[in-house]
Amino acid sequence: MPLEVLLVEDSPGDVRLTQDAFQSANMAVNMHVASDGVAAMEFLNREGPHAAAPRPDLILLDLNMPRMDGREVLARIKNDDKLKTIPTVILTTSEAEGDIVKSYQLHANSYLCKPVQLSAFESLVKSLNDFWLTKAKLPQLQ
Amino acid sequence: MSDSDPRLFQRLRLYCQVSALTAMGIGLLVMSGWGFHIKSLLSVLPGHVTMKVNTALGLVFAGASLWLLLQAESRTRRYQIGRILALLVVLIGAATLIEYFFGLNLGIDQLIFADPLRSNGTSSPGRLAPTTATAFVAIGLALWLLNAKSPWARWMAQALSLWAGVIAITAINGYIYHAVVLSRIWMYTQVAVHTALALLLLSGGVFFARPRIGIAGDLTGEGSGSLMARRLLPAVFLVPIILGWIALQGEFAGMYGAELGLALYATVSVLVFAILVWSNARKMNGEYDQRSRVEGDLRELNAELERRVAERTTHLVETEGRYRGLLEAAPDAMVVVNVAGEIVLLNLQAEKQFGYSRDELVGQPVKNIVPKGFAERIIADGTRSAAEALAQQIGTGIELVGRRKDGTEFPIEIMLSPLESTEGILVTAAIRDIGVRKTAETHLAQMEGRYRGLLEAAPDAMVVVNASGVIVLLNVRAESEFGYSRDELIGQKVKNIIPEGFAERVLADGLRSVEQALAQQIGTRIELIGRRKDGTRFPIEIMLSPLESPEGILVTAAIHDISVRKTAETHLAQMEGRYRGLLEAAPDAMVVVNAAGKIVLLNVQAERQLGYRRDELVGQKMSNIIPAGFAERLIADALRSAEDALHQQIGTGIELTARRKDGTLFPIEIMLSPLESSEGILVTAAIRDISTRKKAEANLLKKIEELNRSNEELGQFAYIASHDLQEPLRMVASYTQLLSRRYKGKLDSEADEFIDFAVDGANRMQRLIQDLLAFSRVGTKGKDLSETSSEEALRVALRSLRSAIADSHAVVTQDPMPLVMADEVQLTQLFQNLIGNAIKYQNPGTPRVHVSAAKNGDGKWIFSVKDNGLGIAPQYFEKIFGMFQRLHKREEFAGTGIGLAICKKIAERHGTTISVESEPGQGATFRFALEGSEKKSCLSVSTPSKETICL
Repeated sequence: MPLEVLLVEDSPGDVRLTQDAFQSANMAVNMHVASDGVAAMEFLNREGPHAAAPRPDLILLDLNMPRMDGREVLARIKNDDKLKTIPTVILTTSEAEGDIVKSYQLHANSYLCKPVQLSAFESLVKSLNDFWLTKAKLPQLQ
Repeated sequence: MSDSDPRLFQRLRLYCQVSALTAMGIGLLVMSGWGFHIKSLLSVLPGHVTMKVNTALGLVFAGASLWLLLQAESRTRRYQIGRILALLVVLIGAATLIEYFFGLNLGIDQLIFADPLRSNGTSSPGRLAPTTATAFVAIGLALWLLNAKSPWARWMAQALSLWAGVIAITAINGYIYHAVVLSRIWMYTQVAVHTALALLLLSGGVFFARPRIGIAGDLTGEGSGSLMARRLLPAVFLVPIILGWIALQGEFAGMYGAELGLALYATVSVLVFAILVWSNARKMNGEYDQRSRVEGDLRELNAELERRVAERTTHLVETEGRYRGLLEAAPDAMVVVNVAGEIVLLNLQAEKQFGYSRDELVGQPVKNIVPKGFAERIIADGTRSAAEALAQQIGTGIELVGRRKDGTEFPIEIMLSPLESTEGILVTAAIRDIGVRKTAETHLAQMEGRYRGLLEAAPDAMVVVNASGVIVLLNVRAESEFGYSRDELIGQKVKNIIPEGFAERVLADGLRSVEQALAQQIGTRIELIGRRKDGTRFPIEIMLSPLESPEGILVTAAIHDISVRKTAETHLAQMEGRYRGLLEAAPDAMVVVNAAGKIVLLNVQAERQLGYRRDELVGQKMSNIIPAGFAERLIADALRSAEDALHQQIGTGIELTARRKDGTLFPIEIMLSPLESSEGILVTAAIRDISTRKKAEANLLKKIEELNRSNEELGQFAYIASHDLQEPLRMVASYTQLLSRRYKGKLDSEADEFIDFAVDGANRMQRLIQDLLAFSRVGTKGKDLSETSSEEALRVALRSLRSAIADSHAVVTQDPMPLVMADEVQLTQLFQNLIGNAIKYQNPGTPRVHVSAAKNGDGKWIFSVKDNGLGIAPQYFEKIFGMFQRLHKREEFAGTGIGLAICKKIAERHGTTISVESEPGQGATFRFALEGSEKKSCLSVSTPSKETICL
């Protein structure tokens, strides 16, 4: 069964990079992309065009996005009984201490910084896949 | 009438004396006649009977006796002799009578002289006539009884003498009337003429010998009866005899017969006597009328007198009543004593004081209640009369001791005053119980003693002056202050020691009495000049207080030498002058305020700053120039006194707002300090205009705010840099790398080179940004300095450099590291950068790095990181610490050049600098200093177990 991953990211370049990295790491991953928080919420709530959206097994969340940024999305996800069990990993360029603390306070499952180096990035995605999608047991919820 | 008495008695006395002498004379003559045979002496009339010897003797004796008894008082020799003679006379008479009665012859008749002549009328020779003998007995007895005590005896004497007189008169009458028969009747012997006369005289003498008593007294008295007797008696004697002789002569002449003669005699005597009596009656009536008148006057007078007496008596009774009332009401015990020392009167108070009832005391000697001292003083003694004695005691209060009924004694004071009464002089004694007074006196003496003691012990000189300005008392301190001894000053005028100012203030003058003068001076301290004995003068301060004494009002002056104070005052005035000078010269505005918050003093600077003139501010409330904050701090309130309030404010600079005359406010800082003065505590406020300072402060605050803001912006910038910049950077870097990966070798060789440059550029930019972030974080993410183990920081740094150390085969050594005040993270960073550099910029061979720490003189730890690397040329010592400054090409050594800049910033943040010591090719030593921790310096020893040993 392919794993569903929701990537919430506004930079198309980053989206491509991430997708490619995931593909190298684990073929059996369906990557869904939301380009901002609003779209992400619509997807998760299966609203509008996303009525038939699958429930993601993992959410990768960027912080700085227009309209609704990652912090707010995180808050909403973790306050929603139906959604809060989905492991949500912050994937951002910000190393700001404040962002890290805030994210964990909002119950982010982990926080990762996107390295500049491509190889480092690919290595990171691989680790992500290894941990969250291979070794970690995920809650099965319908 | 009284006038005649002494003359009468004198005459009578004379007569008695004369008759005594005459009798004696006759007797002696007759005796001499008998002795010398002179017949004429024996019987005067020839042919008549003679006076016998015994008669003569008897006459002599009787006369002598009378003479003696007249003169003599009883118990003298004369008296005794007189009485003996009287007895002899009695004896002569009695013996003769016995002879006659018993017909005896005792042999006395011719005892002395014989009687040769056979005299006529003599029955026995030499024998007295019986009548004579009887007469002698009578006279002798009368003489014997003359001075007898009992009135009966004296009366008897007179009666006896009268009897003798009657006998004599009978004999004489016989001779006058030639009544021979008469003389014969009496027992045969006739009485001789001169005998009869002598006897008559003698009997009269004896009768009147005691003229005042008995029958004689009746005749010699003052009464009208005696007067009448004296007037009539001579007539009574003479008239019948004379009339009888006339009648007899007529009869002898044959004019008429015996019967007629007798009848005539009777008629004429009646007539004569009637006339006499009548005339006497007239006289006496006249006298009586006179007397009645006199008596009438007298009675009137008497009545008048009685009236007056009655008035007086009523008055007296009233007075007495009043007196009694007064006496009773008298507060003191009053006792009236007579000259014999007996109490005659007392009042209620006396009863109470002495515990007796009135009747227990009246009549008692005053000694009973005043044992000693009273009676002696007033009773007359041999040396003075009662009146004199009393006069001496009048008015003076005499202290004695009184005794109550119960025997207890108590001190009294008596005052005597005389009181004339019918009973003689009485003494009124006012008796006052002075027990209380005595106690008071003792107490007073005590107090006086104490007062004296106090006076002597007084710290100040004390001088007591009387109303005339004369010193009466002083204490030892006064002696020493003025240099006199006590007796040199007592009695002297106070002017001698206080030349001016004292006497005038205190003495009465024409304008006011002593009391007024004194009252004005009491309590005030008066500054004067005192003069010592040696003439030196010194300033004094006196305080007066009045003192009542029995001598009048005295003034006690406490004299205090104020030379010291005066000097202090002058000094103070000087200081004040200097202070004033200082005040004026002070650069700050100085204002002196009193406890009421009013300005008392200010300087010229204050005038300028506040825009007032001096006189506009002095006396004004401080709140006029400092509206709020000043007064409240200083003025005493219910919670604290002015002093406390002040004390709390002293020294602290207080920021307040002042208001100028034009109303503008400006910020000030005041500093308060207290100032003691005679007006109480004053506060000196130094006022500084801090407008400029305030502006500077405001500026500073603004700058700080700006700084904070820029810091914040910087922080934000760092954030922006870390996020927003990195994002596009990643894109560039990542896709160029993808490009490189995918199309390397697939494009021309130049394309590969282009791609390499692009990738390299992106990488570099990323590194730059990272370093920049790191640099900025030194400030923004810096923590406060705290106690840090530099050993620990070094360890962490070395761990981070583990791979670098391993790759370069570097040997890192260290000394024990101290505890310092630092930010641990940054210290770690510092070590990491320095050691990293030391390893990186290495010479060929084994890089050696040594980290050490040593304490310097100031108590700071100097850290050193020494390497044996390339070293640095001196001209670059500054440059290397600049941002992104490098001495080598990128190809030689990696790195952005931010490392040392970061180290410098960290060092600066720790309040220190970082320095370098190096020579090219000789390695480099980087040094920086850190504050040691205040706790014990614990050095971490580099043992495998990383123990920390604290010293």
